[in-house]
Amino acid sequence: MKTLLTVSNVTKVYETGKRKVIGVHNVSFDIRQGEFVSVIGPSGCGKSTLLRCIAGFERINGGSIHLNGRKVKRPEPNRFMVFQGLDQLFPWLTLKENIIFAMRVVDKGQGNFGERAEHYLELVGLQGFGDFYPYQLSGGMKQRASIARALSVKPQLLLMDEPFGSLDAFTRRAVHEMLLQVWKKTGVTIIFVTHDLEEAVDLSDKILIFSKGRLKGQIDNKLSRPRERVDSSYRSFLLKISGFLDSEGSDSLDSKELSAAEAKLAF
Amino acid sequence: MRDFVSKLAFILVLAIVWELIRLTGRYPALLFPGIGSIASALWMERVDLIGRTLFSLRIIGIGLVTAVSLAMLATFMSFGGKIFAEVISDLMAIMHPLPGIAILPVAILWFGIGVRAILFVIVFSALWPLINHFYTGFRSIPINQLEVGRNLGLTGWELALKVMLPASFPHILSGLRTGWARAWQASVAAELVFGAAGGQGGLGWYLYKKRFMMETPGVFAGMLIIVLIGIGVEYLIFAGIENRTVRKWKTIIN
Amino acid sequence: MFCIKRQRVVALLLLAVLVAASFISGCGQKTVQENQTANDDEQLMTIRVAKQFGLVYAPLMVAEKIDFFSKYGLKVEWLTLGSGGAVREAMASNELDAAFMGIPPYLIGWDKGLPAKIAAGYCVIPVSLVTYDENINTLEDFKAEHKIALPSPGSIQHILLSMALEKQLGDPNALDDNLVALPHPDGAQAMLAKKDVVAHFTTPPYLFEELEQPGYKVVLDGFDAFGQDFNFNVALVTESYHDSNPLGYAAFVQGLNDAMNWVNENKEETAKLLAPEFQIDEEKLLKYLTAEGVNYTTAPYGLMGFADFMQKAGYISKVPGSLSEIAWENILAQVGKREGGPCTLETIQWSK
Repeated sequence: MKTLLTVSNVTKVYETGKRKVIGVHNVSFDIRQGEFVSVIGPSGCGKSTLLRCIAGFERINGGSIHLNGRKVKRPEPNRFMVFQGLDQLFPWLTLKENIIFAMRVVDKGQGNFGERAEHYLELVGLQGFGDFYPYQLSGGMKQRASIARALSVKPQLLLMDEPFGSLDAFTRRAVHEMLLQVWKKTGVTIIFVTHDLEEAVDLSDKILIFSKGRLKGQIDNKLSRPRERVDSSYRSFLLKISGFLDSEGSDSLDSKELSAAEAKLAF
Repeated sequence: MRDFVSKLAFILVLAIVWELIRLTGRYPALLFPGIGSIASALWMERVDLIGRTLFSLRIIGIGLVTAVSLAMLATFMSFGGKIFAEVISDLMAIMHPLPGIAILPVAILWFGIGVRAILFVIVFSALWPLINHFYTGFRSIPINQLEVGRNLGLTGWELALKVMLPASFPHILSGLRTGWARAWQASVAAELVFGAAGGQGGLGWYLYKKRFMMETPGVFAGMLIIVLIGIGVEYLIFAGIENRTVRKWKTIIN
Repeated sequence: MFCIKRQRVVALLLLAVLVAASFISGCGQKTVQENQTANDDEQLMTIRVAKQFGLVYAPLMVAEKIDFFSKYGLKVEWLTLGSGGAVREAMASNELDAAFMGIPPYLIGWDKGLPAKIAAGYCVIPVSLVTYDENINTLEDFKAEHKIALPSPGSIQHILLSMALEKQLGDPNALDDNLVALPHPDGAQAMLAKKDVVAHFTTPPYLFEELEQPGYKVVLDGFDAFGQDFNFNVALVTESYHDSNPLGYAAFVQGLNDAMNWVNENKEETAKLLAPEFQIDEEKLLKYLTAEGVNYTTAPYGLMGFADFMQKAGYISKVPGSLSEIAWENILAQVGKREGGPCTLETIQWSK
C-alpha cells in the first residue's frame, strides 16, 4: 500500500512565559493508506501535540509533515479531528444539521446533504436520531455523531485524540466495535491517540510508542481480528509491549500512568 | 398563558389597590390621579403618545444597532490582538460603572443639543454591558467547537459568523437584554434632563412636558406606556427568541 | 393546577392588602406628625419655604442670612428642591407652605387645582431673548435649524416668546420646533459654546453675562412682549397655611417686605454678603444688583396679564374671573377697586 502521511524530523517547542518546553522532539514515521495506527504513551508525552501538528492546529518548529506529498500548513478537512470532549458537536444544531453544516462548508456547492447525512448517521448506528439535539444524547452517542460528522467531509486521515476517554468501559466496547466496522467499510486511514494499552491493541495495525516527546518505537500488531482479550496470543502481545514500555521508557512514564497500565495487565 | 393570566391578575389587583388608596383621599388628587383619568389621558393623547413612542423606539433602535455593531467589532478585535484586548478591558473597567446619563454634558459638548447627543448617550449606555457579555460569551465557547470550525477550513469572519456567534448566543442574548434595558433607560433619562427640541422628542420628553404642564394623568399615561413597552419587548421579543434558541438547545445561562 | 392558581391569587391579594395597609398607615403617621408641628407652633410659628438660588433670589438669600422673620415670631424652614415642577408638586402634597415661581407656571398649577394663591409680587427683572447670530434681528429671522434655549415648557420665558410670536407672526407656536428646554446655566454654556443653540431666553445674571460678550444682542425684550412691567416671580402661600395660620402668613409677608426693602437700601452690603455665595467678585455683583431694569419690589405687576393668552394658546383651560381667585387679601387690598373704572394699580395687572 502507498504511503499517505510522512512525518519527518518534526519538532514542536512551546513557550510558556520565559520557559521553553519541548512538546515533540525530532519525530519521524510514515503511515500507509488505510492503516489504523495507535499512538500511546503517558499523559504529557507529546502524543496529542503530534496529532495537533498533523491536523495543522499547531505550527511546527522543525521538520515537515506531508500528506500525499503535499505539505501540511493549516487545518483542512482532509485531516479531520475527533476530540475527547463531549462538547464538540454544535449544540444549536440537531445531529443531522451538524453533519449538513460540515458538508456544506466543505462541499460549498449543492448536494443531497439530507440523504448523505442520514447515511453517515446510519454508519455509526444512529439512524433515527437525526432530529435530536446534542443535549438529548448520551456520551457514547455524542462521540458516534462526532465520528459521523468527521466522516461526512470524506477526510483522507481521521485523527482521533482519545475520543473515548470520557466514556465508561461498556460504552467503549460498543464504540470500538462500531469504529472498526466504519474503518472496514470506508477504508479511511486512522491515527488514534490513547493512553490505554488494551484499546490500542484492540483497534490498531501499528502502535507508535511515545515518551518525553520522542518516538520510542513502532510495533506492528499482527493479531488476527476479531481480537479477544482472553486469547493467549493477545496476552503475550500485550506483555511484549508493556515490556518494551518498561525497558525503553520506564523513567519517562509517570508512576500513576504506569500503575494504571499494570492494573489492567493484572486483570 | 398561565403566566400571562397571573400577570394580568397582578395588574388588576394593583389597579384596585391604586383606586382604594386614591379613594381614601390621603393624597392630593393633583398628584394621584384615578385610573379613569389616566385611561382617558391615554385615549386623548393617543396620537401624540404613539408618535413619541415611535420616536423613542426609532432612536433606541438606531442606538442599539450601532452599539451592537461596535461591541461586536470591539470583541472580535480584542480576540485578534493582545494590545487591543488590554485597551478594551481597561476601557471597560473605566467606562462600565459610569451611568450613561453622566456623560450627557460631554455629549452636548460634542454633538450639540438634540437627537445626536441622546443617541450618543444611548450608544454609550448600551455599549459596555454589550461588550462585557459578548466578550464573556466568546471566552466561554468550547475550544473543541472552535477547532471543529477551523478544521472545516473556516477562518476569520466566516468562523466568527458561523461558529462563534451561535456558540456564544446565550451570552449575546443576555447582553442584548441588558443593552436594551440600558438604552431604554438612557433615552428616557436623557430627555428628562434636557428636553429634546420641540418637534423631536420621545417618551422622556413627553413625561417632562406633561410634568411641567402639571398634567399628572398624562405623566402616568406616559409611564404606563414605558412599562408596557418594557414588558412587551421582554415577553414578545426576548422570551420568544429565548424559547426558539437557547431554551431549545438547553444552553441557557442564568 | 387550579389549586396553584388560587394560591397565587390569594398571595397577590395578601400583597395588595399589605401594600394598601402600609400606605394608609403611613398617612396616619403623617397626620400625627402634623399635629405635633401644630403643637410646636404654639411656641414659635414655622413656615416651610422653597429656597432658590440666583440673582433674582438675592432678597430671599439675604432674608435667610439676616433673619427678617424671627422678630415677628416666625421661623422659616428653608427647603431645597430640584426644579419648578418639584416645587409645585411639593405644594400640592402639602410638603411646602410657600414658594416663588413665575406667573405662567403658577397659572398652570392653578388651572389644575393647586391650592395656593399669590401672597406678594416678587421683583420686576428684565427677561430677554439673546442671540449671537448676526443674521437674526427679529423673530422672523429664525430658521428651522436655529435652536432657542429656554428653561422649560410653560415657563415665563416660553409664554413671553409665544406672546411675541402671536403678535409679530400671528402664530404663537411658530417656533415650537426650535425650542430646547435647558436650565439657565446649561443654556448659557450652550450659548458660549456657540453650538446648535443660537438664542437663549434668560434672566440675570446669565442675561448680563451673555450680553457682555461681543456680538451678543437682545432679539426680544420681555417687557415689550408683555407690553408693560410684570412680576418675574410671585410669592405663593398654600391655602391650608393661609387659612390655618393667619399670623404666620402675615409674618411671612411682612418679613419678605423687610428683606426686599433692606436690599434696596443696602445694595453694597448685599453685594458683600452674597458675593461668596455666587462666587463672583463683589464689584460685579453690585453691578448686576444695580443694573438698569432690576427692581426689587413686592408690589403686584401684571398678575392677570398672562391668563387670557395662555388660555387661547391652550396652556390653561380657564381664566381667573377676578384677581381674588389667584391672590390673597393683602394683594387685593393693595390693588384696590376703583369705582367708575380701574385705577393705575388695577390696569397694570394686565398686559397691553
